Amino acid sequence: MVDDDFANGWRIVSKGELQVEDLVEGVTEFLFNPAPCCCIYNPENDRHPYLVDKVKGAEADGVLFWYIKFCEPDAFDRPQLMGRLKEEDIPSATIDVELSMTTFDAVKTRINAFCEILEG
Amino acid sequence: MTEFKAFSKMKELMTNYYIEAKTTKEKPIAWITSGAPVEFLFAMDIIPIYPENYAAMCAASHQSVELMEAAEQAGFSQDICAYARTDFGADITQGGPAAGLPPPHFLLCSTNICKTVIKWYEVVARKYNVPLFIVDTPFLHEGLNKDLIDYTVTQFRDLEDFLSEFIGRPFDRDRFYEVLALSQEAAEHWRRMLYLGKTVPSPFNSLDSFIHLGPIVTLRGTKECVDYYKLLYEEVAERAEKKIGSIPEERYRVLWDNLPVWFKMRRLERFFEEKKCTLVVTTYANSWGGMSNYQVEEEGDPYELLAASYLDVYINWGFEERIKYLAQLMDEFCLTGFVMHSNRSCKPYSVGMYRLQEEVSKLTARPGVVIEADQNDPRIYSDAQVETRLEAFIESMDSI
Ligand code: SF4
Repeated sequence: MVDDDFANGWRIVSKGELQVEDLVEGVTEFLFNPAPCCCIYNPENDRHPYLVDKVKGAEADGVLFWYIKFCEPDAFDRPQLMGRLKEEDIPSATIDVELSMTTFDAVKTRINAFCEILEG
Repeated sequence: MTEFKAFSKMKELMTNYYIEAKTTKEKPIAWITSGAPVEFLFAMDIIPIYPENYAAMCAASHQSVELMEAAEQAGFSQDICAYARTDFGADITQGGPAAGLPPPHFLLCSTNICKTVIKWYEVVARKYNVPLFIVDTPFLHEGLNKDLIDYTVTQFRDLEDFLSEFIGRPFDRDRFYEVLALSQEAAEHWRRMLYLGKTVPSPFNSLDSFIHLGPIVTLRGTKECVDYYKLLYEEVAERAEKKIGSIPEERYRVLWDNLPVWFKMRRLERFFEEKKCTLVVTTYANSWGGMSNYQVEEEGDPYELLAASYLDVYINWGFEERIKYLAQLMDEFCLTGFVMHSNRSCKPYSVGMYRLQEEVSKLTARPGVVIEADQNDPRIYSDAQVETRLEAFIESMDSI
């Protein structure tokens, strides 16, 4: 795993300091300027080119989407995002996870299969 | 379904609407959410297209499964709203009763019904590479206030600028005021019609109102819509006057909360009729009696009144307001109980429903039931499960 785009990973790190002098401006910047998130609509800060750049920057061979049930905003974004990666010849796969899940065999199998694709 | 003469008129209206939208060469097409301020579009001669309405039509004509499967095949999760999935599928396959929707020139989306539509319309905007205008209508946690109205009005002004730039001529305010009056008039006929349900026995049932909802969703703001609801109102009023009920014998009168189960309309209608139970009133159909329906004679800025009417929508209310409203309807319509459709697709309508049921039951001392279903996805619906719960509920009610 060379990089991530998790809401509780890189996206938090990307947020920087909250400007407190003008709190409204500060909070707006804090929300809209860092790494784009599926929960915030901001066509000026689009997830598509962002993710492609991130993959290239990290020299990643592929992208694994980690879909946590029942996150609708993420579920809406994913098919087109995967399509965009495909256009760039970046392989991707998706894993469905439930918060109440206790066995991860299916997840392991899926990751293994994806790694095999990457090894080509 | 109760037989109304107006039904054929409605079919004609809806058919003409889809034909015009599919064949127009001159008029721009905007895809729009069911609770968005459509009046701005009509003022600029733009045809509004309602993907939600189309998805409902697909389900009512039992075509939603194959369409949703096409969307799921394309990667869309079964967890997202079934309306969106149905429409994505219809877009991919050009399927459904109108063989797909005409492609949009831009999109207008309002968050007063849910936040799901932002994501849904983002997908469409990306696919068609068209602009998306969002009217953000904040959730009314503690009722309506001036700040929320001002915030919404500011966006209406931006919308006018957007439309004028998009179409290439100034926003037509005179026409806009005419459209507002038409919208208001249609919504008022619809509201008065729905309130005839207070008559015992009820002259129509809610499955009728779900069917007759089409024009108030898709054509409010037009003269045809006003004429149609005037006709329907008069017909229903006559039945009310003569005390003709929608079912042969009415022993129970209940409220339905949330969307219909579009693919089970007939079966549920027979079921309720057999049990001598009328679905009298629904929070869903009532919503279009409120939107655009402000008192024209009321003093005040029409933009503010319009903003208030679009913010003040049941599904955009906090719990306290919902509880009060449900209890009020229970009393006003002399109901014996209430049915809550916990709809897998529509999270904002369904979240907290078990709690609502408890509270409203306590407040009204009348039973309520929650059924687990979906408005568009028959694959997660079980006749046996739903009907067993409904039977037990009906047995627990005191008849009128
Ligand atoms: S059914 Fe509910 S979630 Fe789906 S578009 Fe309508 S309001 Fe939104």
